[in-house]
Amino acid sequence: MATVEHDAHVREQDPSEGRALLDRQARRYLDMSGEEFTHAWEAGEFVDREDSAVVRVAMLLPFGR
Amino acid sequence: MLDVSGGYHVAERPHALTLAGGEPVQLQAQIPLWLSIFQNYRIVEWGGARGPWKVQTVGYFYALELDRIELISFQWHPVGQSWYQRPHLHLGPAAELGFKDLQHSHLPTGGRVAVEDILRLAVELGAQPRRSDWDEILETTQGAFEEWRPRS
Repeated sequence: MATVEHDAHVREQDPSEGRALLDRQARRYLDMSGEEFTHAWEAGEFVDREDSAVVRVAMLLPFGR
Repeated sequence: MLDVSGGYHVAERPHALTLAGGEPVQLQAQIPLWLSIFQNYRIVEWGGARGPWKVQTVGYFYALELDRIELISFQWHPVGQSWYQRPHLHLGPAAELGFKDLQHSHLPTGGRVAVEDILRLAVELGAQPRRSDWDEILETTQGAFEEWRPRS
Protein backbone atom coordinates (compact mmCIF):
# COMPACT_ATOMS: atom_id res chain seq x y z
CA MET A 1 0.00 0.00 0.00
CA ALA A 2 1.30 3.46 -0.88
CA THR A 3 2.30 5.87 1.87
CA VAL A 4 0.89 9.37 1.79
CA GLU A 5 3.08 12.23 2.96
CA HIS A 6 1.07 14.95 4.70
CA ASP A 7 1.54 17.96 6.92
CA ALA A 8 -1.34 17.31 9.33
CA HIS A 9 -0.82 18.00 13.02
CA VAL A 10 -2.46 16.13 15.89
CA ARG A 11 -2.95 17.77 19.27
CA GLU A 12 -3.77 15.46 22.18
CA GLN A 13 -5.98 17.29 24.65
CA ASP A 14 -5.33 16.64 28.32
CA PRO A 15 -8.44 16.18 30.51
CA SER A 16 -8.77 19.86 31.47
CA GLU A 17 -8.28 21.01 27.87
CA GLY A 18 -10.79 18.41 26.73
CA ARG A 19 -13.40 19.56 29.23
CA ALA A 20 -12.84 23.16 28.13
CA LEU A 21 -13.31 22.15 24.48
CA LEU A 22 -16.59 20.37 25.26
CA ASP A 23 -17.76 23.28 27.41
CA ARG A 24 -17.00 25.83 24.69
CA GLN A 25 -18.97 23.97 22.03
CA ALA A 26 -21.90 23.12 24.35
CA ARG A 27 -22.26 26.80 25.21
CA ARG A 28 -21.97 27.85 21.58
CA TYR A 29 -24.47 25.40 20.12
CA LEU A 30 -26.82 24.60 23.00
CA ASP A 31 -26.39 27.48 25.45
CA MET A 32 -25.44 25.20 28.32
CA SER A 33 -22.19 24.17 29.96
CA GLY A 34 -20.36 21.02 28.99
CA GLU A 35 -21.08 19.57 32.41
CA GLU A 36 -24.79 20.36 32.07
CA PHE A 37 -24.84 18.75 28.65
CA THR A 38 -23.10 15.63 29.92
CA HIS A 39 -25.57 15.19 32.78
CA ALA A 40 -28.56 15.84 30.51
CA TRP A 41 -27.24 13.42 27.90
CA GLU A 42 -26.66 10.67 30.45
CA ALA A 43 -30.16 11.27 31.82
CA GLY A 44 -31.58 10.65 28.34
CA GLU A 45 -32.91 14.17 27.92
CA PHE A 46 -31.94 14.38 24.26
CA VAL A 47 -33.81 11.30 23.08
CA ASP A 48 -36.23 13.42 21.07
CA ARG A 49 -33.63 15.87 19.79
CA GLU A 50 -32.51 15.14 16.25
CA ASP A 51 -30.84 18.41 15.35
CA SER A 52 -27.25 18.74 14.27
CA ALA A 53 -26.32 20.91 17.26
CA VAL A 54 -26.97 18.02 19.65
CA VAL A 55 -25.12 15.49 17.51
CA ARG A 56 -22.20 17.86 17.08
CA VAL A 57 -21.78 18.35 20.83
CA ALA A 58 -22.49 14.70 21.66
CA MET A 59 -19.61 13.67 19.43
CA LEU A 60 -17.36 15.65 21.76
CA LEU A 61 -18.46 13.88 24.96
CA PRO A 62 -15.23 11.83 25.15
CA PHE A 63 -13.35 15.09 25.62
CA GLY A 64 -15.23 15.66 28.87
CA ARG A 65 -14.47 12.28 30.42
CA MET B 1 -4.99 20.74 13.37
CA LEU B 2 -6.73 17.61 14.65
CA ASP B 3 -7.67 17.40 18.33
CA VAL B 4 -7.98 14.00 20.00
CA SER B 5 -9.30 13.13 23.44
CA GLY B 6 -6.25 11.29 24.67
CA GLY B 7 -7.24 8.37 22.53
CA TYR B 8 -4.23 6.17 21.97
CA HIS B 9 -5.30 3.29 24.19
CA VAL B 10 -7.96 0.63 24.52
CA ALA B 11 -10.92 1.89 26.52
CA GLU B 12 -14.50 0.93 27.23
CA ARG B 13 -15.82 4.21 25.86
CA PRO B 14 -14.98 5.64 22.43
CA HIS B 15 -12.40 8.34 21.92
CA ALA B 16 -13.09 11.52 19.95
CA LEU B 17 -11.35 13.32 17.16
CA THR B 18 -12.27 16.72 15.76
CA LEU B 19 -10.89 19.38 13.48
CA ALA B 20 -9.81 22.73 14.96
CA GLY B 21 -11.27 22.24 18.42
CA GLY B 22 -14.72 21.43 17.05
CA GLU B 23 -14.96 24.73 15.18
CA PRO B 24 -16.08 24.89 11.56
CA VAL B 25 -13.10 25.69 9.33
CA GLN B 26 -13.52 28.04 6.40
CA LEU B 27 -12.25 26.55 3.16
CA GLN B 28 -10.52 28.53 0.45
CA ALA B 29 -13.33 28.87 -2.06
CA GLN B 30 -15.28 31.33 -4.15
CA ILE B 31 -18.25 30.80 -1.85
CA PRO B 32 -18.22 31.00 1.99
CA LEU B 33 -17.85 27.26 2.55
CA TRP B 34 -17.11 25.82 6.01
CA LEU B 35 -16.18 22.28 7.03
CA SER B 36 -16.69 20.45 10.33
CA ILE B 37 -15.30 17.01 11.13
CA PHE B 38 -16.05 14.89 14.18
CA GLN B 39 -15.29 11.21 14.67
CA ASN B 40 -15.63 8.78 17.54
CA TYR B 41 -13.32 5.78 17.41
CA ARG B 42 -11.96 2.84 19.35
CA ILE B 43 -8.62 1.10 19.41
CA VAL B 44 -9.36 -2.58 18.78
CA GLU B 45 -7.35 -5.77 18.49
CA TRP B 46 -7.07 -6.81 14.89
CA GLY B 47 -5.54 -9.84 13.26
CA GLY B 48 -3.69 -10.04 9.99
CA ALA B 49 -1.32 -7.67 8.29
CA ARG B 50 -2.85 -4.57 9.86
CA GLY B 51 -2.72 -5.99 13.41
CA PRO B 52 -2.36 -6.37 16.23
CA TRP B 53 -4.25 -3.08 16.77
CA LYS B 54 -6.24 -0.75 14.59
CA VAL B 55 -8.40 2.34 14.83
CA GLN B 56 -12.08 1.65 14.19
CA THR B 57 -14.51 4.50 13.55
CA VAL B 58 -17.70 4.06 15.60
CA GLY B 59 -19.47 7.30 14.71
CA TYR B 60 -19.06 10.50 12.74
CA PHE B 61 -20.50 13.90 11.95
CA TYR B 62 -19.23 15.67 8.85
CA ALA B 63 -20.84 18.97 7.82
CA LEU B 64 -20.48 21.54 5.09
CA GLU B 65 -21.91 24.96 5.83
CA LEU B 66 -22.62 27.83 3.51
CA ASP B 67 -22.01 31.15 5.25
CA ARG B 68 -22.13 29.29 8.61
CA ILE B 69 -25.57 27.80 7.85
CA GLU B 70 -25.70 24.03 7.45
CA LEU B 71 -25.82 22.91 3.85
CA ILE B 72 -25.40 19.17 4.31
CA SER B 73 -24.28 16.88 7.12
CA PHE B 74 -23.31 13.24 7.02
CA GLN B 75 -24.04 11.46 10.28
CA TRP B 76 -23.61 8.09 11.89
CA HIS B 77 -24.17 7.87 15.61
CA PRO B 78 -25.13 4.28 16.47
CA VAL B 79 -24.44 4.71 20.18
CA GLY B 80 -26.39 7.97 20.41
CA GLN B 81 -29.93 8.60 21.56
CA SER B 82 -31.54 8.96 18.14
CA TRP B 83 -33.92 6.26 16.98
CA TYR B 84 -32.16 6.33 13.61
CA GLN B 85 -28.82 4.61 13.89
CA ARG B 86 -27.82 3.87 10.31
CA PRO B 87 -25.48 6.11 8.30
CA HIS B 88 -27.45 8.98 6.80
CA LEU B 89 -27.33 12.58 5.69
CA HIS B 90 -29.37 15.68 6.39
CA LEU B 91 -29.90 18.55 4.00
CA GLY B 92 -29.72 21.76 5.99
CA PRO B 93 -31.40 25.17 5.71
CA ALA B 94 -28.74 26.43 3.29
CA ALA B 95 -29.86 23.77 0.79
CA GLU B 96 -33.12 25.78 0.51
CA LEU B 97 -35.34 22.77 -0.03
CA GLY B 98 -38.72 23.30 -1.60
CA PHE B 99 -40.15 20.44 0.49
CA LYS B 100 -39.26 21.43 4.04
CA ASP B 101 -40.07 18.07 5.67
CA LEU B 102 -37.12 16.61 3.83
CA GLN B 103 -34.85 18.78 5.96
CA HIS B 104 -35.80 16.74 9.02
CA SER B 105 -35.59 13.38 7.27
CA HIS B 106 -32.75 10.89 7.56
CA LEU B 107 -31.57 10.30 4.01
CA PRO B 108 -29.80 6.92 3.94
CA THR B 109 -26.29 6.84 2.51
CA GLY B 110 -26.25 3.07 2.04
CA GLY B 111 -23.22 2.63 4.25
CA ARG B 112 -20.55 4.59 6.02
CA VAL B 113 -19.24 7.64 4.23
CA ALA B 114 -15.50 8.29 4.16
CA VAL B 115 -14.14 11.71 5.04
CA GLU B 116 -12.49 11.66 1.61
CA ASP B 117 -15.96 11.73 0.04
CA ILE B 118 -16.77 14.90 1.98
CA LEU B 119 -13.56 16.53 0.81
CA ARG B 120 -14.34 15.64 -2.81
CA LEU B 121 -17.80 17.16 -2.38
CA ALA B 122 -16.21 20.31 -0.97
CA VAL B 123 -13.97 20.54 -4.04
CA GLU B 124 -16.96 20.02 -6.29
CA LEU B 125 -18.71 22.88 -4.51
CA GLY B 126 -15.76 25.17 -5.14
CA ALA B 127 -13.12 24.54 -2.46
CA GLN B 128 -9.59 25.02 -3.75
CA PRO B 129 -7.25 22.09 -2.91
CA ARG B 130 -3.86 23.08 -1.52
CA ARG B 131 -2.07 20.36 -3.47
CA SER B 132 -2.25 19.45 -7.14
CA ASP B 133 -2.18 15.74 -6.27
CA TRP B 134 -5.19 15.97 -3.95
CA ASP B 135 -7.28 13.44 -5.86
CA GLU B 136 -4.48 10.88 -5.85
CA ILE B 137 -4.05 11.31 -2.09
CA LEU B 138 -7.76 10.90 -1.45
CA GLU B 139 -7.84 7.78 -3.63
CA THR B 140 -4.94 6.26 -1.69
CA THR B 141 -6.27 6.99 1.80
CA GLN B 142 -9.82 6.01 0.92
CA GLY B 143 -8.52 2.82 -0.61
CA ALA B 144 -6.99 1.92 2.74
CA PHE B 145 -10.26 2.77 4.49
CA GLU B 146 -12.21 0.55 2.11
CA GLU B 147 -9.72 -2.29 2.40
CA TRP B 148 -9.51 -2.44 6.17
CA ARG B 149 -12.92 -1.43 7.43
CA PRO B 150 -15.17 -4.15 8.89
CA ARG B 151 -17.81 -5.51 6.52
CA SER B 152 -21.37 -5.09 7.74
